[in-house]
Amino acid sequence: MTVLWQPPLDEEAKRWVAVAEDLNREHFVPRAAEIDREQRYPWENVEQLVASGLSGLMIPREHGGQGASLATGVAVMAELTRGCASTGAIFAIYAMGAGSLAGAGSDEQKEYYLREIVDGRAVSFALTERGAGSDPSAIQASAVREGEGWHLSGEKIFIGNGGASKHYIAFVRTDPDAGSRGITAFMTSLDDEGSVVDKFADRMGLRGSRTSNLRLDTWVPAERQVGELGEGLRIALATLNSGRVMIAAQGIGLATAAFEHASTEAVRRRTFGRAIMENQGISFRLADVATKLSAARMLTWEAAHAGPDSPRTRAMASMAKLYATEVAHEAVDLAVQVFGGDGYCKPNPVERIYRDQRISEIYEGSSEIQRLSIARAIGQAARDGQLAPLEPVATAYGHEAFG
Amino acid sequence: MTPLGPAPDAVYDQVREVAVRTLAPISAAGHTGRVDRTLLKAIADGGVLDLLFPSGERAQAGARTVCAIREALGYACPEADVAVSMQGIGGYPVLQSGQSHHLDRWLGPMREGTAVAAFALTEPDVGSDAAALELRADPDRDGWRLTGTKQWITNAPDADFYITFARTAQGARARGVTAFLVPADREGLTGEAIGFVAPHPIGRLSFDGVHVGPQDVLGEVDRGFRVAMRTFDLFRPSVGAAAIGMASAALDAAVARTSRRSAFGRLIGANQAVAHALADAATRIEASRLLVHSAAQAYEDGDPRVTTKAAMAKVFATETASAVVDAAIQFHGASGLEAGHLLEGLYREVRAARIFEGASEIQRDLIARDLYRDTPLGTPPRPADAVPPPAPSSKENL
Repeated sequence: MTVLWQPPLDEEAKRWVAVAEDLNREHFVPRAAEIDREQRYPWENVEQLVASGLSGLMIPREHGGQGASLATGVAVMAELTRGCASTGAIFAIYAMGAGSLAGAGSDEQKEYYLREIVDGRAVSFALTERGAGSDPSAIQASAVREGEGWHLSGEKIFIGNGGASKHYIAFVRTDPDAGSRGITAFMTSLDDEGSVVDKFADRMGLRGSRTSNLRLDTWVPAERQVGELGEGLRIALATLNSGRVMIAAQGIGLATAAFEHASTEAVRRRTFGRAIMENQGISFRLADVATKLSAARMLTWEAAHAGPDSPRTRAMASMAKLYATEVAHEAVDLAVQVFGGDGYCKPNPVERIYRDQRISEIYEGSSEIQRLSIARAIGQAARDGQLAPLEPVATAYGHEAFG
Repeated sequence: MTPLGPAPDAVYDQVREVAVRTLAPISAAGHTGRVDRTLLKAIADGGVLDLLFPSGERAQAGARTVCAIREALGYACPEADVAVSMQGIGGYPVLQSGQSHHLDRWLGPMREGTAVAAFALTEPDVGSDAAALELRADPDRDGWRLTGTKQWITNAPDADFYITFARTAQGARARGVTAFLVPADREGLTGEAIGFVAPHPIGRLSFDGVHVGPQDVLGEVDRGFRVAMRTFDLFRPSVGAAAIGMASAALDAAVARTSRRSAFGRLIGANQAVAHALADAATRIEASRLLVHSAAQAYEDGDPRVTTKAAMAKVFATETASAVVDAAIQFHGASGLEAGHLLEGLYREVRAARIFEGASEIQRDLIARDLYRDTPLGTPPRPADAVPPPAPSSKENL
């Protein structure tokens, strides 16, 4: 695609995107309709992610991974999603589970779990509960000391790749009175007696990936604790940035696929004696999507290079996630419109992409949460004087219009 | 004309005819940003103020009549709309809540266009939250002395009297405000005009110990907000009507322009990007009109939902008008931005409508408050509202 802005990939990223393109063409695209229809978890795709090295793409080489940058991960995520959004979502779980352990895990934890991930045994985030979604400080699942370890109890829901992942980083309350500072992260696995996945969500989209609960009534040894006591939410938040950038990349992959389908169909399909692309009612909307999608790519590329967690990088990641996923919404909606009734019926891929897109505006912080986070950054910057305008403000009566 | 346009209405037709024939030329001849008494006299001579102030003991115009007047004036002469609406908003507190000597003194001249009314509520630091107003009314002899500032007062400083809201009870918010009729020549009252984005007559008033007595009170002491609300309830739907008039004028101009002008070998209107945008504009204008009529009807029926309906009409119609005027300018190209062009004037004129008489944000607050009236935040779910948990699917694909 020459119309859309292309990120200036370095050699490493180009190599890995080429790997993803090959996998898409050979395996993931041909399976995409079937795994969606059957709501079947594509273990063969996971094997190919492992065999190609993508399962450990951003894991340091010393732990058996490829040591690639977040920018490379973003480019691969967008490409995999463009081919099969469910497989892209699975890839994202591998990347994000690795990110939290690489940041907060002990040397022993890193050595063990990161190699597990490289080998295809993923680590899922177990954060959300029925009463704790966008606001994780409301977490109720708990851990109490028992012998040389902890007894975990409670139930987690909306776990990405749940049931398919072997390991879980569970965020549970260790201090009932300490609010958001009373939450600690522990590793548990489906091998632990009492760590049970027994409910799978029947989903609208991303039906080849998996979402489950995790019931906890289990004992884990003390060395399964990740990070310091009470530092659980900080660990969860530290990986939010890269997680949001990855979901921005998901939005870009979805939007790109939808835009390609819509453009191709608009020049092919004829009504009233001409291609529907000859209608500005169609072509101008495609022009808007191309413009916004290019801008979303730039934002996401910038956010992927922004560096370690800071107020500035947090706002960048939120802007990228918010904008890319909302552009994706516009793009998939337009693709359905261009195909007309066909776009609404299986097995048209546009019908699937339309469903696959919607969750991207909700998970990893809904659009509302992103706006909240951007708004906070604006307020902070303005109070710090970073947004001071050049021209002093004069008002009609000399009153203090801006307080 | 727009595809549907205003319903056949004798008031609309009469006012639009007067506006096109006599008011628009007067307005075009000189925008000074001050009260134009020549224009107001022509408005009266055209019979428009007789419609606003019908004959009969404290007789009031219907809300639908006010809407028809304002849509016609918004279409053909926005400056006259400002003048008529302020004559109403400043005059109706007198008509509805005034003492009989107020009526004797002011009603005739208001109807004849020789007395200019104004409504002084807003203060430098008190806009949307009017209940916080601070103009002091200190007890003095048999009355009060008013001290403080009112600003963004339409028709100030040229009006003949000001319906002035002052704080007579501290800490009582809306229940400590009294409405006074303050003639412009009262000692201690001064004012100045201010420049505005559009040529509105608007200004600031300074009250320096202005004496008012019981004979100046409208309604009851400490119950001035009732006076304001009675007037606002009648006039609120009509803000949307004026906006619809402006939007319709912009749409008609855009249709005329794009049906004649060519670019790249074809008429501009042959572009869907243009024609579809105007189709959307016409649709939104018609929807605005229905909302305005619904709100006006609710007022006339005594329907308690009038506030919410009027809020919906105001926010939707004024935001529609801004968008339509903006689109019309886009399709005119640079000529629409030439000083004196209809659209250049509307572009500046229409902006204030999203701020005054309750900013768009305040209208949304009102609508949202009504939404939650019967279901306050924190209401536990009724059994029928409970969402069943997702059905567990089989484990076989684990």
